[in-house]
Amino acid sequence: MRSKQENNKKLFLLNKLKSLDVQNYVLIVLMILLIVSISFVNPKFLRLRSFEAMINNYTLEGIMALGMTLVIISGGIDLSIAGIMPFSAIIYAYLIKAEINIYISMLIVLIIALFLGFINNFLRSLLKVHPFVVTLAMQLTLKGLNLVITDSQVITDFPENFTKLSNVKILGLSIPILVLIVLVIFYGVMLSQNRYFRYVYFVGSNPRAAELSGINTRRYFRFIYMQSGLLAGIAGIIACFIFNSAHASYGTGIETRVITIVAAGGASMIRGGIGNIRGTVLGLIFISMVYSSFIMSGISTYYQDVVTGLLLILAVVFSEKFREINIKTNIFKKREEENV
Amino acid sequence: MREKNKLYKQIIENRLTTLIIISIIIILMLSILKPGTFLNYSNFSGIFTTMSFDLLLSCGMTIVLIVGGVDLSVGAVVALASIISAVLTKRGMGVFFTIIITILVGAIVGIINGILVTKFKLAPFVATLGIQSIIRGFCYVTTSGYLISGLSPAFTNLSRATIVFIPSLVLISVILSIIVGILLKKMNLFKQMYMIGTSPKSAEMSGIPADKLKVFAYMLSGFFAGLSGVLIASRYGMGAATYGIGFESRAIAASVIGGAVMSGGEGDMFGTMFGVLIVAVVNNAFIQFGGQAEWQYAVSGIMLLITLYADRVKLSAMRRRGH
Amino acid sequence: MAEILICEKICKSFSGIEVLHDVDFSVKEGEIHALVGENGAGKSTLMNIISGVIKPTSGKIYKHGKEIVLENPLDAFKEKIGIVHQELSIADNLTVAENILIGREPINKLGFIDRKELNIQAEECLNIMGISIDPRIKAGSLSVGLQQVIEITKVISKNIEILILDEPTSSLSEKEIQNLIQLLKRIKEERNLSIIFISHKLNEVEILADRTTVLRDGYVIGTLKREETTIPKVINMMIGRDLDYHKSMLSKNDFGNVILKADRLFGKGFSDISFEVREKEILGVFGLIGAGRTEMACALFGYDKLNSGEIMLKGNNLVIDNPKKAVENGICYVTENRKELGLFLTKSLKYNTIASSFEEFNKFLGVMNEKKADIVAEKYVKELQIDPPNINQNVFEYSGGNQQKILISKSLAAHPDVLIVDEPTRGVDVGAKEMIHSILRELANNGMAIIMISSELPELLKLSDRVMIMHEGIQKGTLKNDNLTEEDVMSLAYAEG
Repeated sequence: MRSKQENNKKLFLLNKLKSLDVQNYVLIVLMILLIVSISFVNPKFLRLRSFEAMINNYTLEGIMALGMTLVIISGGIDLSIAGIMPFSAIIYAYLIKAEINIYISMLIVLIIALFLGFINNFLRSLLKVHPFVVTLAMQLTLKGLNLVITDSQVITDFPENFTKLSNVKILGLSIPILVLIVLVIFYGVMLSQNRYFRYVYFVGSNPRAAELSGINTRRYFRFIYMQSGLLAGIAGIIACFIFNSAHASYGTGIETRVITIVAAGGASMIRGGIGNIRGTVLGLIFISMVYSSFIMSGISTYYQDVVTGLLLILAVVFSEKFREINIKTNIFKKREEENV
Repeated sequence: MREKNKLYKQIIENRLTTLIIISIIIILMLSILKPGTFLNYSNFSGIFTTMSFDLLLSCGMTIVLIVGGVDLSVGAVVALASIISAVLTKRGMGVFFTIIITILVGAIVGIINGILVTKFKLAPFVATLGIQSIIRGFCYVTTSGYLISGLSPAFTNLSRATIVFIPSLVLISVILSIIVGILLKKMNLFKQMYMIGTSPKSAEMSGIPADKLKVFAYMLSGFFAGLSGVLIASRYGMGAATYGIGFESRAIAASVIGGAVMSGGEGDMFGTMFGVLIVAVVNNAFIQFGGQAEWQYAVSGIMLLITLYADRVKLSAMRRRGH
Repeated sequence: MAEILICEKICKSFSGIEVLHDVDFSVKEGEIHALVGENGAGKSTLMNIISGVIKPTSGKIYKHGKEIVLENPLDAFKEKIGIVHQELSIADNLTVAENILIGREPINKLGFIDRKELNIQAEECLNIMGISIDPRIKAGSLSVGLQQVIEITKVISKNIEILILDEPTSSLSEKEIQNLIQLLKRIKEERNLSIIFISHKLNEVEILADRTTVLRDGYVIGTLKREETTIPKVINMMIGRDLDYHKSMLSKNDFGNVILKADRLFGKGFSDISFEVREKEILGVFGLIGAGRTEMACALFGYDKLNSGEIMLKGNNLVIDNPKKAVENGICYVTENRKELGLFLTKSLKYNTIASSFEEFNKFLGVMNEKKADIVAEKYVKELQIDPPNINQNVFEYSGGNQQKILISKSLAAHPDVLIVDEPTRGVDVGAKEMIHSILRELANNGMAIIMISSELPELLKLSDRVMIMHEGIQKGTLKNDNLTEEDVMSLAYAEG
């Protein structure tokens, strides 16, 4: 009995190592290779500052990737964030320019963003088509609205109390980065510890079984799309902090970058129930590293979209392969007979 | 009484008649409410110009939807094609070869989409979204964001000429979509595509070369996007990386309005033609009343949702009647 | 032993067709009650009623003598009835503990999962089951057998009194099955649990069941006590049929040349299958569900992967890696899953008929020859007496029997030399059944080689010239049909070794 338990413990540790799946390892190796090769070209890259700058460029994507992770684990997709994010930025800009308290404005924007997420899910369940169609239509509608309400102009000249706030630094970190860090921690903890968050795995891998186990899946999907909308709203406000302006073009192509981050992190685009925040964070660091390595090496930043698309396709193609390797190398399957 | 009821029912159930009636109603309403700005030559030529590009894209989109896929990359291919054709003409290549090469590039992009969907089993929207990003990015890279203008008159005349008072652009797109419409109705090959979209597994089990035909469908979509891009470059006299943004959803909306379904197996090019007309006219209505061209994105999004809803209602009505 | 659950005169109809007729069924406290029957006998329907998934059309359910009404699965859990469905509902990315205690996780003051407590509770549940799996590992890293055990643990830990297992062994290895059987016996003893066990594997039933109830065509044929339960007896009850159905339709043919020869086929779900089939011959392939017959046919047809083995068609070696190639070479397959793998439900009869032979309907430059298609469709409508005879009607509007005929005409239109039919009369009424049988005989008489896969012995014995018997993926032998009886076939199917 005793030896069996010890055996178990050993297996558990091994499995813990394994739980970082193959795709995570591949990402880490690629990152190390990237760091080494860029450092040859540009030794400044190794400084902490440039790391911060690197993430800085991808704050908005990072925030929305957290919500997208949940959506993708649940087996869906949300393309509307590319509309909600700039929409929120624009509404926020108008509100604070109308001298409304900057915090109350935030609240209003977030409520609107939540409502847009609610609409996404409402349409999804009403129309019974794949969520990409519904959220694509929402994205376009909002993009059009953004252009119309701003007349394609940049909204700028924010009130002074806002610019003051946007320049605040805590522990040497700007507010956007702090928000990202807080959200990453929050989502990471919730998705691994909170039971309501964790049901996403159940709902994603087997919605019917989840229903039979007493989970209200309809309410659950509502939660998932609403939180995605909410994060896009937060990203919109953060966009105002970063750029000190708001413009309808802010979200262009952002949904692909966000999906790529999540897919590179190992969440499955083919079936639900697979993915986690740790992977998404790795994906975020990886993609932003690739992007900044372009800047460092003086390659045109226009390559960003090309690389995003390539990585998206590669990530989806390879993650299935990696998953097969994961299953094949599983130690538990081999030992199960001794174990029972 | 009963007869009348039947007729009414038939009209509602025949999509094409419904679409024609809807288009007439919208056009009449606009003519009555905005006689000055709607009913004039420049407005109409504007409508027809944008319609032509959409019509060409919708030819491809309808075919892709029929096989049960979707192609989100077409907008980006339009931009790519406009740039390629602009660069080629500027380098002094003849109009004919420019068109051929550009369309070929479009078709190759389509084939890549098709291979990703069939061989690598990617969800169509993921694959084509990725390709969209790659191509759009490539367009920005090659142009560095600049427009490529100063194209030869030989090239620009291609779409600016009129034949018997009809702009050649309109003529090309309408004739091509009529041809596609007829092919969809008549050709053995396309009949098989309908079967694939209806039930991909049954099609494979029946020995229909499903993968090959899917790749072919995506290729056609790329082909038409390429052609559309050439004509845009010719019409506006330049190539630009920003062309075609949001075109894919307009094409999807038009096809779905015309009778295609997102799950595949249905689609009718003649319906799609009226779908394109309705999208264009509604768009114009927003511009007439809202005064801004930017309404076009919002309109295509909303129209797509409304159409999906109408289909949903129709489907549940059919279920209730016991089908 | 008192009876814990009594079902009284349960009837259930689906869209007007009664699938359960006045079923009486009871379970005693602390017994393992096996429920057996062929496909479509109504086992799953009955279990779905007891577990609240569907509601009966009429009839009553009593538990401990009190009538209970089950509106949904949660009601059933409240009545302490738990079901483990054939498909597992394990979330791969959650830990074993979370899977077991889903919906009942202990949480701490912050609303977070109390991992320590969770793991302790899960460990307790697992200990009761007598297995030591670390509850902290991800459920996805376990084998299917262990996942099955986790699923059972999850259900039992809800303090249920009646456990329903729907074909729990269908995807397990021999070793895993043995483990499961030991486990079930033990927990039955320890917890005084009543277990309803659905299975098609009669040897398991014999080992495990205290009582066995046999269903056939929606009727209860009888309930056997443990000492009465023998495999031949159960089989007899399972497959006994009306006499007139058994009229032999054997041919007096001289068979022609060997058309198709399969040599040592291996693949997923079957191994080492060899057979040959000749012109004018019907080769029956018998096996219950899980025998690997459909898997073998799909691999032969190029839809699934054939791991190894040779296929000879008219003496030529042939590699078939996709269905298109099979059809081109004159092998057609009439699937058992006509709605998903066979028909195009929202398309017309005409297009369904020509779906395997599109290439033949080219006029010029690839224009579809609609007229020829009309003629071909009309021809099969007439020959197979499809009703209503409207070639432009959508296939989903036809009855099951007519859909089956349309499916057969799809294959016939491709002019096959070899026709593989898989459960050709499943979900088909008696009249259409008879009709399909004579069509198949007629086709064979006209020179076609037919492989008929079926789990219905009477139809196999009626039609096939030889019967190949498969059981759990293995070929048990091939018998010539000289007054072959059901017992002959069954005893070979369940013969050891």
